[in-house]
Amino acid sequence: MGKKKSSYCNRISKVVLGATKADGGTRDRSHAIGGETAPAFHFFEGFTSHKPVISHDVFDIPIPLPGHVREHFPNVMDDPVKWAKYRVEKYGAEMITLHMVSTDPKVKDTPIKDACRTIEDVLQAVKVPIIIGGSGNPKKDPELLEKAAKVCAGEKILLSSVDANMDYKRVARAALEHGHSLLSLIPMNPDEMRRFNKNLMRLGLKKEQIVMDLFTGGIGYGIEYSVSAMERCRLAGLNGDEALALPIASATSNAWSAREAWMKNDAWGPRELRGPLWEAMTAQAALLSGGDLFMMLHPRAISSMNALIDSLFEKT
Amino acid sequence: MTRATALQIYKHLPGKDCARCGEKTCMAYAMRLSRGEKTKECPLLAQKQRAIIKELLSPAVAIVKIGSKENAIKVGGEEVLYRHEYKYVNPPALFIEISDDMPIEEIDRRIEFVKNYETERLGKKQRLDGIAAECASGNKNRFTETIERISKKFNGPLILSAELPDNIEAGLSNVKDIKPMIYAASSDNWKEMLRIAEKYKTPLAIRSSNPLSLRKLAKDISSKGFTDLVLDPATSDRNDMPGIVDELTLIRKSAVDGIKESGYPLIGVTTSIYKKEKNQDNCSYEESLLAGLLVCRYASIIVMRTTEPWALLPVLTLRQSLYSDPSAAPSVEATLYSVGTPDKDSPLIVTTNFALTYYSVSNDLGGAGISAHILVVDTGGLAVTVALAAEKFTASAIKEALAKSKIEEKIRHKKMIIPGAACQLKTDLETATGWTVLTGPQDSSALQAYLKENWKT
Ligand code: B12
Ligand code: SF4
Repeated sequence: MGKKKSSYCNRISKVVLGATKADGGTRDRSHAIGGETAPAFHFFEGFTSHKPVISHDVFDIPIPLPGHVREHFPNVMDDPVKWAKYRVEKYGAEMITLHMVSTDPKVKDTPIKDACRTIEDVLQAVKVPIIIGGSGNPKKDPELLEKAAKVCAGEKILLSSVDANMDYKRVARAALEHGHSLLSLIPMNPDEMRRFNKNLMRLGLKKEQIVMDLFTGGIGYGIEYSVSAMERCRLAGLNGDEALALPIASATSNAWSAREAWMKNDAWGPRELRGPLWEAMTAQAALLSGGDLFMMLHPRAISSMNALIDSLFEKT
Repeated sequence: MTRATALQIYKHLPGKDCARCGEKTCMAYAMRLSRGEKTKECPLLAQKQRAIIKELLSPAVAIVKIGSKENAIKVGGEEVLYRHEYKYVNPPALFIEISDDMPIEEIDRRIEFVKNYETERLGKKQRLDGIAAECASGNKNRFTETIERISKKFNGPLILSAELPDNIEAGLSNVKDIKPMIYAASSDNWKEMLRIAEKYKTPLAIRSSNPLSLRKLAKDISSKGFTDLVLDPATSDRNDMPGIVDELTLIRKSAVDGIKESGYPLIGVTTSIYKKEKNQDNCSYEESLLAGLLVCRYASIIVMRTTEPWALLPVLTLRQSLYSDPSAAPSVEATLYSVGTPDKDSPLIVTTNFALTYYSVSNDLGGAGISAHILVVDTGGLAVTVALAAEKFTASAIKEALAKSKIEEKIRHKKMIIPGAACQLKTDLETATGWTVLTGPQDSSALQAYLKENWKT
C-alpha cells in the first residue's frame, strides 16, 4: 500500500509551517502538510500525504464557551500566554492558533500595537509553530495580519485568514516580505476559491504558501456543503487545477455552533460527552474529505482525532 | 456503472418514434428512463435490447431489501463515489445489536429502545432501523429463544448473526416470513449459508477480511444467480484502519466503475471496541466515531451496540446530512405559520425558509410551550446568516412577506421580532413598514427567556 503509482496527474503542494533555527526561525520543529497524490486515503490509487496536523485554539480574551469546555483550561483562559503554554505542556499541542478576537472594534478594539505585544509574548512562551488569526473584521484584519507578519518575521507562521472582502493584497505583501503562508477563506465555493487563489498567486505567492479554508460547518450545520466543497477542490487539484492543488484547513471548532454540541437537553444525553464527540465527528468527516490542518478546541476531540490520524498513517 | 445517459439508452431503442410507449419519440422515452421515471414499456423492444436497457438502468450498487413488506427497508441503490456527482440515495440503515448472552431484562430494554428511540431534525423523524440478533452463546436453543423473544415484540427488519449455518437455520424458524438478513457467509461455510438463504429467500451478507476472498465469494455466489448480497470487508475484526478505509473505498469505486462483484451494499459492524475497552462511555464514544467513518465511507448498513442517545445523535445527523440532495437546500414554504394557539396579542416572529432555520425556531417555541405567529420569508432556502450575506433577507423582502401574510387580521399589535443576527435590518425595516421592530437573541433557543423579559402588548 502507498507504493502504488498515483492515478492522478498532479500533486497537492506541500506547505511548511514553522521555522526552526536551521531555517532562520526559533521554533522547535516545523510541520509539512499537503503533498497528496490521490484523494484522502485512496491507498489503492497511490495515496501518500504528509501527516495532517492539529492546531489548538487559543483566544486572546476569554470568549463565551460552555462550562464543560472551560473546565479543561482552569485559570489560564484570561491570559493567552498561559493558555498557549498549558495547551503545549498539558495536552502536547503540536501547533497553536492564536485568535486575536479582541481587536474587533465591536469587541474590545484592542490597538494593533497591544495585539502585537500579545503575539510576541506567545511566540516567546511556546516553541511550536503558530497560526495568527484575526477577529474576522474586514477593516482591521489586514492591518493586524500585516503587523503580525512583521512581528513573526522568519517564523513561517500561517496568517488566518484572507478573503475577497478585505484588503488582502496588503496581507499578501506582508506574507511575501516576511516569508509566511496565507490561509485563503472562501466558504464552500470551489469556483470562488479558484478565482481568489489565482489572484493571490498573481501577487507572487507560491503554491507552497497558500492553504485553503472552505469553511467547515459542524455536523448538522452544513457539514455536507463542506465535505462536497473539499472533495471537489481536492479532485480538481489532483487533476491539474493548480489554483486548487493546495492543502486544506478545517476550522473544526465551528462544530460548537451546532446546538447539539453545547445545549443542555436530557433527551440528547450528557453534553460533556456529546460536545467533544460532535467536534471529533466533524473533524473526522473533514479528514476523510481531504483536510490537512485542523484548528480545534476540545482536548478530548483533539486526542481522538490524533489517534485516528495516527492509525490511518500507520504502516500497513 | 454511473447513471446511464439518455443517449446511451437511445442507442438500444427501435428508433421508430411510433409513440406507443406514451412518449412522442424514442428520444423522449430515453430521457424519461434516464431520469428514473416510470413509463410504459416499449412494445417493439427485442429481448436482447430489453436486457441491455435493464442493465443500463440498474444502479451501480444493487438494491437489497431487508424485512417483510410493510416494514422492509431498502439499502444500496448508490450510483456515485462523491455526492456532488449526483447524490447518495438510500441512507445507511442502523441496526442495534442484541446478543443472546445478554440478560433477559437487557434484551427487553434494547427491544423497547429500538422501537421507541426517535429524534426529529428538519421536520423528519430520525429513527433506528432494526435489530441485529447475535449468537454469542454458540447455543442453538438460546439463539432461537432470543429471536423468538425479539420477534414477539418487534416486527421491523432483523439481522441474524451466527457463525454456524445450523444456528442460523434454527433461528430462522420463527422469523422466516419476515425475511431477515443472514450474517454472514465466509469462505468456509458459504455453500451452506447460500442454501439457507435460497430456501428462505433472505438476503445474505458475505464476510472476509481478505479483499481477494471477498471478491471471489461475491463472484462465486452471484454466478449461481443469487444477487441479494451484502458485502462485509470485516471492519469488526481488523485493526488496520488504513486497510478498512481503503477496502471500503475500493469496493465502492469499482462498483461505480461497473465491476459487478463489487456492486453490492456494504455493511460495517462497530461492536469490536467492547473487546478492548472496559469503560462503557469510552466504548460508546469510539463506536460512534467509527460509525461516522462508515457513514462517510459508503456503508449501507451499520450494526452498533451502544444505546446512548449522545452517541447515536451525531451518527443520525451525519447520515441525514450526507444523504441530502446536494442540488436543493431543504426549505419550507414561505408563509405564515403558528405554534401553539396564538391569539391577537401573541408575538410575531420573523425568520427565513431554510428548513433547519424554520424547524429550529418552531421547535424552540413549541418546546417552551409558547404560542406565536411565525412569518417565514422566502430567502431561497437560505439560513438567516447566509441570507443576510447573500442579501436575500432584507427589509423589503420582509415587508413583502408581511403584506402577503395578511397578518393584521390575526393580531392587533404592530410589533415584530427579528433574529439577533439580523439587527442591521432594524432601522430600514421600521422605516419601510412603520412597525416596531425588536431585535431578538442570536439563537432562537433563547427566545423563551427573551419573550418573558421583553414581550408586552
Ligand atoms: C451552510 C452554510 C452555507 C450554505 C447555505 C445553507 C443554507 N441553506 O442556508 C451555502 C454553502 C450555500 C452557503 C453559502 C454562502 N455562505 Co454560508 N454558511 C453556512 C453555515 C456553515 C451554516 C449556516 C446554517 O445552516 N446555520 C444554521 C441555521 C439554523 O441558523 P440561522 O438560520 O442563522 O438560525 C439561527 C439564528 O439565526 C436564530 N434565529 C433564526 N430565526 C430567528 C428568528 C428570531 C426572531 C430570533 C430571535 C432568532 C432566530 O436561531 C436559529 C437557530 O440557532 C454558516 C456558518 C455558521 N456556522 O453559521 C456559513 C456563513 C453564514 N456563510 C457565510 C458566507 C459568507 C456565505 C457566502 C456569501 C459565501 C460565498 N462567498 O459564496 C454564500 C452566500 C449564499 C449565496 N449567495 O447563495 C458566512 C457569513 C459571514 C457574514 N456574517 O457575512 C458564514 C457565517 C460563514 C463564515 N464564517 O464565513 N453557506
Ligand atoms: S414505443 Fe418504442 S419505438 Fe415507439 S416511440 Fe416509444 S420507444 Fe420508440
